[in-house]
Amino acid sequence: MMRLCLAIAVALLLAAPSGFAQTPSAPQTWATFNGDLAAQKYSAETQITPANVGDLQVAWQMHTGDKSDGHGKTPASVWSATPLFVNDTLYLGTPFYRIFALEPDTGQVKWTFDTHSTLKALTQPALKTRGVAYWQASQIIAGQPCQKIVYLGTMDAQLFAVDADTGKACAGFGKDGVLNVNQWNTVNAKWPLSVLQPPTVYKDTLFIGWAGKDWADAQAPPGDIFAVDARTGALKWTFNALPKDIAKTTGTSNVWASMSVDAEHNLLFIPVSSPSPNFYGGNRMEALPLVTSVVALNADTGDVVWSRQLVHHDLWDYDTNAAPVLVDIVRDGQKIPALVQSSKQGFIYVLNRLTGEPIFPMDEKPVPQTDVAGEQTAPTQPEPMIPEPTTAAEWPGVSTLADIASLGYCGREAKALRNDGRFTPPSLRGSLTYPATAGGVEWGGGAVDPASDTYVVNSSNVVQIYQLLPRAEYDAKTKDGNSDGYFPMNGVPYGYYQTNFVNWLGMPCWNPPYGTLSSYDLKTGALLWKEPFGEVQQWGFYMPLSWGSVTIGAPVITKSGLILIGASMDSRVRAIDLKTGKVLWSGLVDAPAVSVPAVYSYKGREYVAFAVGGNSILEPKVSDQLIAYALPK
Amino acid sequence: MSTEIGVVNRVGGWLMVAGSAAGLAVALVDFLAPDNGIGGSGGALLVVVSSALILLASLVVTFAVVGRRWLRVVIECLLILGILGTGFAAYMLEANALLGLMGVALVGWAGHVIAMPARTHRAESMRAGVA
Repeated sequence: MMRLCLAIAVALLLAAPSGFAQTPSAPQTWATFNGDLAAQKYSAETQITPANVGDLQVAWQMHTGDKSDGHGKTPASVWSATPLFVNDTLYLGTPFYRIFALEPDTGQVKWTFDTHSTLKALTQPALKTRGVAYWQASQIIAGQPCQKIVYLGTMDAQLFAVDADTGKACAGFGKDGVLNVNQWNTVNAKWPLSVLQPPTVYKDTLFIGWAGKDWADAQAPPGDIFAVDARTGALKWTFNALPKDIAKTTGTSNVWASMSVDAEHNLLFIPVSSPSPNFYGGNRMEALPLVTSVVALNADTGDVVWSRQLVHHDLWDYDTNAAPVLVDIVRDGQKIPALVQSSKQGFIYVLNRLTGEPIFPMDEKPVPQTDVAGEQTAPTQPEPMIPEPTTAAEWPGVSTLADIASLGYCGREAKALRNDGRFTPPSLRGSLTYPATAGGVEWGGGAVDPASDTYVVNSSNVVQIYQLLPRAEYDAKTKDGNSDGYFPMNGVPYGYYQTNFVNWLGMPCWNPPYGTLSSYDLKTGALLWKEPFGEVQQWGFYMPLSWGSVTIGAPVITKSGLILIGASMDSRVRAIDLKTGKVLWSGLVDAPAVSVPAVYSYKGREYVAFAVGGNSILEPKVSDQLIAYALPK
Repeated sequence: MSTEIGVVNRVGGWLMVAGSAAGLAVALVDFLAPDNGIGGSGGALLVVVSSALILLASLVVTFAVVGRRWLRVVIECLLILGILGTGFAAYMLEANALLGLMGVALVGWAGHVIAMPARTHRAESMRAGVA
């Protein structure tokens, strides 16, 4: 104990302020959800460096007022917005569907716009948004409104367009500034097409994806993408991953995550999710090559240029869930136009983005087969040999601590469950599933340093139990209104039960780490380093660093060699050395920063801004805090 | 010699009282602070309670008459368990100030126990009076 005290005293002495050198850099914007259309999450800023990041301090913070812990009439809020810095303004969308325009150096409000949208969780279990999108005309006409537009989608499928300078609705867009995306919800329209991910903006077109109600129905809206005119909202084209004639029995395969664009080749890359229902596929035995896939579309027409299915006959809800990261890899002096697709299953797929062909070897591996009547599993699944997945091939094993604390429950349950390794299908007795739908890598995806071809990604190690219940058994178990963990999957012979594999204390029954941050050399596919990331916090107590944390959100890389990331459940934001993976600085925020940070410069000063919203999946903590860090003036 | 032992014993007791009192104050601030990552948590409340109990026990062994030696030993044992436990909890809460103050209390406890007279003067007097 005394040695610890001494160590703390020494650490406090060493933490005395030190000098730093500020290097002027060209002003940088952060104009899209991922920083740029290539989804690189990369900033060319160099003012904040590994040498001076220890001096980082709060430049300003503000609270939008738009938060709910779900205890009242308003559902819980999940705020995962990336603040956009463009037009000398910071733009922000909130989970109560309001837009804020802020001064980038002070956080002072320039204007706000309230959509007055419904605050009901119509599809998702919480009020969600991942923020706003921005468009501006290639030729600005002075004095004309809506030459620059900010867009915000809502839970009830409305897309609002607002003048970026004044905060007034753009009357020429949709009807009086509102595009009713739900007008195209014409097949299996059981719920609205919630526009929670900001549209991807390319030239004068918005590409709109949407989120639905998961795990509820076999028949669900097919996952169309809508390409609309940025000025008017007029429909240009639609894309759907499902054949029209299969809509009687299934649906979705929507694109609920962000997309990326290769402007040079006019290609739109979309991460396509799984069809419905998510954990049983007896109703969708047809070949569906475009579902749970990454697809390249002609940005002008929506025609498929190529596609690659990442999971055959998906029974695990392994939605392709993040924008493909586009980067040119230089190997042996040759430039390879690449795409890096992260995944819930922990695989990192590195493909040629012009052809869809893998750059590193991939294999079709035999996988465990189903024992559920009416189901038929795919005999093989595609697995990249390189790079090493973020999640191990085998589940992490029973945690001795959790097993003792549960008087052997964890060990007994692990033996009772079906576990045949990766791609063990859902079963009637319950399947131990790793990685599970919670990831692996979540919707934030990874970041890339295009100069060194270094790819960094955060990943979770979550073990869940997937169990199918024959309809009569499901109905019996849920007849008293018990819905915790139960999902109906109406329209097929089975309901579904899912739970995290935890003991009665809520301790994970599997061994840590629960989350990692990994760095890869894309030239070779080699893993450069992999570190436990974040901290688990329970009752205020921080668990050992080696345990890491489940994460939601994503990293940003700066040219100066820093990784900036929130994402962990310990309500901290961190700066990490790109070369080593070591944490160089951390700051405490009000809740888990489940978002992509924005890095920008304004009036010669570099800022890192985090939207701090929390997510009840990680921790029952919500916030409405936007916080910006910078070096001292 | 016995005077020096008595001084060390008293100083140790004072140190323990001071460390635990300051620890209680810090634990209270930590529990009530809204933006320190542990405010309002069960762990922060736990160290408030344990710090209060340590303070109480420190006051008893330092200033009050504990006639029965076995009771004194029990209290001293509970004190060291409390100090170490609270220190460990503070470490897990990353409450470094509280951790440091538990270090102070630990030093005080060590001085207090090492320099504890075989029998206290008052206890001797009481026993003589009863006889």
